[in-house]
Amino acid sequence: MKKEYIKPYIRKQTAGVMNKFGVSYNKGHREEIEGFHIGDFTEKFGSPVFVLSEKVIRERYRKIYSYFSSKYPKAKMSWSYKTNYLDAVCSVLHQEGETAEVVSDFEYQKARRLGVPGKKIIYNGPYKPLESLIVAFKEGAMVNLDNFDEIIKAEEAAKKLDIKASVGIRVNMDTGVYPQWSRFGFNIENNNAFNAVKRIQHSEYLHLEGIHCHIGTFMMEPSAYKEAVKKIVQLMRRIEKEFEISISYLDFGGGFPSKNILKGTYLPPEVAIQPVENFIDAITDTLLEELEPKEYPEVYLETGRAIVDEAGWLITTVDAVKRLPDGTKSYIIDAGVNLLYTSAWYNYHVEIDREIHGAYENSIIYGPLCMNIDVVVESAFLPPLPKGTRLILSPMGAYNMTQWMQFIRYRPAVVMILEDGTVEQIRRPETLQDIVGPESVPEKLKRFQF
Amino acid sequence: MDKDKLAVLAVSESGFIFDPVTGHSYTANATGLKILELLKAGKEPDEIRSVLLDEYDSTEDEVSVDVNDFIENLKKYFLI
Amino acid sequence: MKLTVAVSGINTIDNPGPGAGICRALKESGMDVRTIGLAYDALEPGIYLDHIIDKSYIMPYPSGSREAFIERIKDIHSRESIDVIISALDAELPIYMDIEPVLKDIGIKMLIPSKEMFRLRDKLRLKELAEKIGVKAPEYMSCTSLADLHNAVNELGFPCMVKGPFYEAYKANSPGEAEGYFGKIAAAWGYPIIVQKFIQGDEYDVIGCGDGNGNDIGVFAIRKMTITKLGKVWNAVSIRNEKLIEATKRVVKGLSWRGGFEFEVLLEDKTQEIYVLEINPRFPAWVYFPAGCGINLPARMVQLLTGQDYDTHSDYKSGKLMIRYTNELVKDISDFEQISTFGETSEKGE
Repeated sequence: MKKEYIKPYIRKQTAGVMNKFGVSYNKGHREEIEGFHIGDFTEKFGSPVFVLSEKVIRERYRKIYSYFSSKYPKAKMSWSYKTNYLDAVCSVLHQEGETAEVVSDFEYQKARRLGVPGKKIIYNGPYKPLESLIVAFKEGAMVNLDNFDEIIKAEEAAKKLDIKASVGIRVNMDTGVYPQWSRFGFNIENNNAFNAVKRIQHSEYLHLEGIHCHIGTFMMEPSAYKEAVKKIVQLMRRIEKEFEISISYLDFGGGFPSKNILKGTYLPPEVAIQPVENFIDAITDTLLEELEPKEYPEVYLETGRAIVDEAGWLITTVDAVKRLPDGTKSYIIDAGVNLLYTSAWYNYHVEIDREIHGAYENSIIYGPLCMNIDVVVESAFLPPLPKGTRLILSPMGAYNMTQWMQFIRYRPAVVMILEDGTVEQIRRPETLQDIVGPESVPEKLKRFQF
Repeated sequence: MDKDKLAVLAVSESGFIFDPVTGHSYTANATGLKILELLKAGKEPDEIRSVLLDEYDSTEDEVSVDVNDFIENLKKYFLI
Repeated sequence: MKLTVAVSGINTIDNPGPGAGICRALKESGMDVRTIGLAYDALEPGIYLDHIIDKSYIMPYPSGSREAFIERIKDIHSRESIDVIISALDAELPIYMDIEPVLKDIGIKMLIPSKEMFRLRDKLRLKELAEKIGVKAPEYMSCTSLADLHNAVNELGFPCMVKGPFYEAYKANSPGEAEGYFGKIAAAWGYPIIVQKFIQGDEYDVIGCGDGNGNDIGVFAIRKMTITKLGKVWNAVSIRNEKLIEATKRVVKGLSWRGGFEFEVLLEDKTQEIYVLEINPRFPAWVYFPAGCGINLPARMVQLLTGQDYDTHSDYKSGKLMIRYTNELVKDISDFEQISTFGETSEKGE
């Protein structure tokens, strides 16, 4: 009987990093996702493959919505399409009752095609083509305007339809966090926001219905929302008094963090990230403090990442193992930054699909692209992985399936584990025809010979 | 291959290795210690590979990649 | 009653942690205490100080997973039956605050602040806190990018202090210096980095411990006489400044502070006004100094947690001098082998 083989290692002990355990004491591994074996996914759908969980999406949504609606009477939530606009994902959230929050004509059309009525769409973003505004007004969407030129454009659209269109404005303000997102919307402190309302109320074709803000992304500090709510309620009061109108909705956007590990943070996310309840408390407590019950407007949240991020994984395969000239261990996997745009700001959680003995070391995980920038994880503490090991990267549900690009390689399958215990492909892997379909070659370039 | 440096290493069963000449210390696992022992005894990489294959449950491909990697590491540490 | 107390921060290096001082204070308290060192590196000097630390273990870094951290504590607890853990490092405190209920369930007690108290003393919220306790706070701005830094130094002028989220503070006299410190701190500890206006004055420090109900169980004030390049106190003299002691008591009361703390202040030269610089949520490295003067805070903390009688007075003499010195121990490479390969020291006499 031969002995079990463990990959050999020798390591020099260096002052300052002599910790036997490093960051990984329990050397766990992950053999399955919700009861489905990791290998079954890759066997059936190829590698890499994105895996989403219907159950987790619903649970995350319900947790947030039930807390939010228990704290404020007119609580509404709208699904942030840009976070993940795969039809199946949007459908789960629409079934839960979320409306659609879109930021482009493409997203608007995608929501409509999926069966979301215009009245259940919030249309945000700094650029809205005239034609799309005409459609949105005609269909009764909630449109939040971003700048003075857009007010003029909206007026033109409403004039063409000969209606008085309801609009909201997006505002920005100092909430004590850096960087301040001052490029979107009208600034409150310098009176820009008030002037925008004045301009809208002067118009024959527009009237103000709501106020929208979105103070940042991956916010770590709930108190910023408290500031935002205070300033917006103040603005609302001033507008209501000055123009004798009633604001029917306030939209506080999103920006709540997930348990992804932002680069540059030291503590693990279970500890560094405050629970989502704290963010909701900051908003609802402040609203209840500032408002009289008779004036409660509808309040929207556009939570994206905090719902879907932890509902997604990427299963990928180690294709080669390489030791770099400086001694660093590195791995080449079959998914790169083309699929993982978010690798620029997150240190993903990396799990392996089997128990592997041997010494852990800090390793670099490279993607498959022939590009120097294709680094998926700059430093992962891993045992010696043999070729063929599957890595499970997470959280993956937010932004990857929208910001991915078709660059060098095809985009892989996305599957969803359904609540009934089945797995379904919700986006098939791309084929050559998907990519070349829109292309055409001028007649005289069609022939070549070597 | 220069074996003089390997000869002076104080190797403990725990996997702790102390170099009394340079003052550096290293840690290695059992397989690592085995390779080190074979190198000290003057074995060539090919011989080391076959010893490991006799003793452990593995494939020729895996062992040969690992032995090369191990020797590369020793070179990096200027131990051979 | 024989007690086992585990203590972290036993890195008595040039930027020392308080762990060794805590253990020494416990050993000299007259209580029957077994001290366990929790280290993060095989060369933390406390590991080798076996006259005050009975046994040491290596812990996984607090930046790793929470579960791994708990598992390791449970493993040590199964062999040591720990009664109390005294956490003594800023960077690990959030994880202890998070897992305190888990530790309580298995019988390990801690006297540490709640997450809310911890947030209130955050460097980013000093202004709020200063108002609450009736002292001043120097102007500061928090930065997460070089652009923020340039903006902040333009606003606050030079010289200014550049400070990390957990540790390290440097005085910068020029944009170049500020940028250098910014990069250095960010690489080690991440963001945000705080740029603070420089105020001319003397630095004072108060150590204390709150019982979580608004009372302190002893405070002790010093003037820093010499500080190291890293901003750590090296020599100090005990003082009795009633204004400062009262401000400290207001901190304990205002936050209902639970656990050890260090209240770092600056008394401005021209006005003698108190500026709060920082509230560190744990004992400082010089924790032995008050113990040597009759205010043994680690011992009082352990007594409080284990239901024994404890003193709460702050009767100490001004004019006591703390002289810190460096020293060399002679050990064998096998001691290092033991901790670096097995993750724990051998039992004394083994």
